[in-house]
Amino acid sequence: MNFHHLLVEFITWFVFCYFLALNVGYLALNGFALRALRRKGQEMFMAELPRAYSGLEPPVSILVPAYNEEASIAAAIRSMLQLSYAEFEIIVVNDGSTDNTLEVLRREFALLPFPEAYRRQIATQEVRQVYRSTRYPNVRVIDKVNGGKADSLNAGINVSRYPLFCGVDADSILQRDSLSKVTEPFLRDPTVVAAGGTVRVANGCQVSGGFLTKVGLPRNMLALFQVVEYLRAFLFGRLGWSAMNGMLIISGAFGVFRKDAVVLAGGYRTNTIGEDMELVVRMHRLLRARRQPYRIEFVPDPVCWTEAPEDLRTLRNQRIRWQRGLAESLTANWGLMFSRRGGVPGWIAFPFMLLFEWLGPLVELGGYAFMIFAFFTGLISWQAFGAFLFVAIGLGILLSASGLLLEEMSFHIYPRGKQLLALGAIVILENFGYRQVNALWRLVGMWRWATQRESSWGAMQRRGTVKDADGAPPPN
Amino acid sequence: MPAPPTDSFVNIAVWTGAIALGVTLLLACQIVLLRVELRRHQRREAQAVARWRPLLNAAIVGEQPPLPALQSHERIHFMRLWVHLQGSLRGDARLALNAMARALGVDELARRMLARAPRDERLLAALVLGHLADRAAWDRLLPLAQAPDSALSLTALWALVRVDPQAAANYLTPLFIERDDWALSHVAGILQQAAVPTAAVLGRILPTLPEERLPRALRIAEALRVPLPGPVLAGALQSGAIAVVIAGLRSVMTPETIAEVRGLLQHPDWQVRVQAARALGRIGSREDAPRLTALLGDPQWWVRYRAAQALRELPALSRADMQAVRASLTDRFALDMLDQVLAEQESA
Amino acid sequence: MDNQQAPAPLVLVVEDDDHIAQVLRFMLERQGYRVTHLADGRAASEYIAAAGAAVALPDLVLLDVMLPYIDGFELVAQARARAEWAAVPILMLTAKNTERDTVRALDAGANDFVIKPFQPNELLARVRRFLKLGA
Repeated sequence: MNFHHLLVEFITWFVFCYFLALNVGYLALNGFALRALRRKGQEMFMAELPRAYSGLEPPVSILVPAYNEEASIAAAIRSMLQLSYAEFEIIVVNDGSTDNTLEVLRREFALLPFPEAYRRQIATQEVRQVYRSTRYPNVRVIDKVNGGKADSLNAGINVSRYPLFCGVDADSILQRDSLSKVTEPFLRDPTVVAAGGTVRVANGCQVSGGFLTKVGLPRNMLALFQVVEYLRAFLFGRLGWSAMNGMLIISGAFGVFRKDAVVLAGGYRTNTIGEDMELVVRMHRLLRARRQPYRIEFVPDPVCWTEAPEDLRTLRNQRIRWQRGLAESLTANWGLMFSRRGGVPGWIAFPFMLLFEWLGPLVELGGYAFMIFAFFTGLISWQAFGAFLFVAIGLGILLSASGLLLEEMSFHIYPRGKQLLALGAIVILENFGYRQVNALWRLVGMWRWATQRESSWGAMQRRGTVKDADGAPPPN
Repeated sequence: MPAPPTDSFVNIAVWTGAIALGVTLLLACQIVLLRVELRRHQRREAQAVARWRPLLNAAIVGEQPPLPALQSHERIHFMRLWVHLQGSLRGDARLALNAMARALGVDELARRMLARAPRDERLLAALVLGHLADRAAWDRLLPLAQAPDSALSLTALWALVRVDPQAAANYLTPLFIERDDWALSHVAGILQQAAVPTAAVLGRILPTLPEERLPRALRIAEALRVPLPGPVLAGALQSGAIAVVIAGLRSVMTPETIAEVRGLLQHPDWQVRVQAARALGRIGSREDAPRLTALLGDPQWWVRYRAAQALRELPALSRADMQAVRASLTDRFALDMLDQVLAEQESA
Repeated sequence: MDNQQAPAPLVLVVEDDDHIAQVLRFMLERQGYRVTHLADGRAASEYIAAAGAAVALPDLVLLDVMLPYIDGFELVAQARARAEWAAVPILMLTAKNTERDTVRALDAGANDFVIKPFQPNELLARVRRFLKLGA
């Protein structure tokens, strides 16, 4: 009898402490982000003034992997050409599309074959031909055998001419100053090797000509939840990590890297689902081991927008994939954790990711399941059960609210008061089901990773992981 | 009989939850306050702009409208609008704007802001004083240029250069060389206005610089298109430090040092070979063609690329000559590279 | 005998920076011109397509190069492709004073260019010159 009580006691305390630690950890991250934002906010108005001193920005090669994008690729590239940036080139990588993507590109951009002296810095699938646009001299297209997004990016790196490259998804919606904002850390600090841009939810916003014209909130409930989720977890959390130089993820939708650093690290890894995160973690690991001073930064300005999934099935698949990608990125780079020269990434960020992101779904759901089971079998009193729910949901609401506060302090992109109220309501509602279901999906992702479901993996590779199985793009 | 977890658990959990909700309520209040403040700020800004824009426009076209007093809550908005216009205009319009600012007492205001305001206002004040070319602010701007904060120091530097280019060059050139966080492109942009005095100062101090500072100083000289004194350049090219050699090669614009450049084509470091090839493209003559052709077979891609481009740039080489070179190549890599560079030239 | 006064010349200003656009409007209206202001490339493109029938053809166009959606060079090309616009003087406001951009501007069919930051009096003088030529 006593043993049972002790066990129940232990588990309830454990779950409580875990929830507390998780939320406090994220709150601390938001706290770090707050400091970084203060400084940032003061510079923002300077950006609105015509530059007093005009310094040339470093030239950038924009890499656009494309798989079966015949409907939207031309418009996407056209809008990228409108970026207001001093010097850049666009390299579209046609990853063995089975539709008319290449034809569309050939027609719209007047492509002609170009005798590229292909430089095999990183091994890739065979490149069939390189084309150059006669209408826009800074656009080149690579036609290659299908190999997945990571492989396409590697091919793009091989062909790029400039010291920086920017990996963009074909359906990322950018702003005219996106590139200049995200390359600004490289100007300020010569040790920066990578910079990630914020990805925001485009649902409900007006988009035309490939550019965002007006910011709005989506009507779809799921999309609304994701807006708040992004504010809570993906935006300011990353800024907090960036302030400590422990940022482990740069979104594949928009990120700028130093080419030589990436080549030195070996390029993108093709046999993983989360290739964007895996590269960054690997860069941390290798640069730390080599004791090379470096920084990986995060630019909090809203520079990139993508469509978030609006139906359960697509969202579920996306979250399952993310969790698998996370697990793969971490396990591929075990050496970073608690390594002697690991610094913040090795001693704080990696364990944090492991404990709270990777293990999180298990403990969260396990905790809920246990408490429900214990309540219904009478092992715990209704007061304890109630208290547990109160704490779990209360802390969740606090965390979401802190994300909203940071947004209001910094960019306040939702101008109308009604929108703010709606977001406030979602901050509360999010914790009554969405977060829990999310944890469930992530648990499935863990399971799939653990059992290594080869079949779906193979199908993904064949299709190219630019688009999700059900057609929605991954914001992460 | 079920034995619940101790009451302490319930207590602590409930207290924690209550605190969380309490803090949430505080945050919610803060969010609302921020939004209200934002609205008020936007309204004030719109009012200030509506009031002052016609007067500024009138000044720009040469009129002298009667000026009301600048109210305290309008100051920042006025200054921002004023700086925006200053950045977009040239000539008499700027002088008129300066006169208007002085008449309103904005110069005094900016000098005061420079001392003790929050960071963004100090940035704005530095911009205002720079546009005004305000001598009286020199002493207050100088320490700012040495502040560790990048944005603030660069803006102060810009303002100092506008006030007195000669003095700024004298005082601050060593600083440009020291501060790695000042991006070269920004420094070059600011110093364009003070190119001549900076060139003089650089010419004076380059021979005295320690080796690790030399590359950056040479890069600044290159960005400002300052011709380096002969001995300095020759010394750089013969230096043992690779970074110095590379920076020196980038500055080679005249054939005086061509002998050293030719020698560096065989340097073991590939980056030196790249820069040597580029330099030879700028200053080489017809007889350098065989040297560059030999580099087409270099194991490094970038060396081959720049060598091919340099070949194309050599003055005396015609299309027929290039075809002859192409026909003589046996190395597949060299051939590929030459084809690529020729194609690039066609589509340019 | 009443002399019917010709309507004041219409200047189309395409500029996305609001402050600069307001300065231009003020300057031009003070000289007695009528001003239509468009803030982005797409609106300008629609205007070009609709001019003649639906909207008035301007007597001069002040066109910024860096515009959202469609840049100035393409707009000039679009305008020159249409018969009605062939004789309309187009002045481009270029921010980058590189040779490449000025060459591009003139090649595309612009009549003149003004480098930003600009001198208001100089701009007005150029505008007057083209409007006088047309009159």
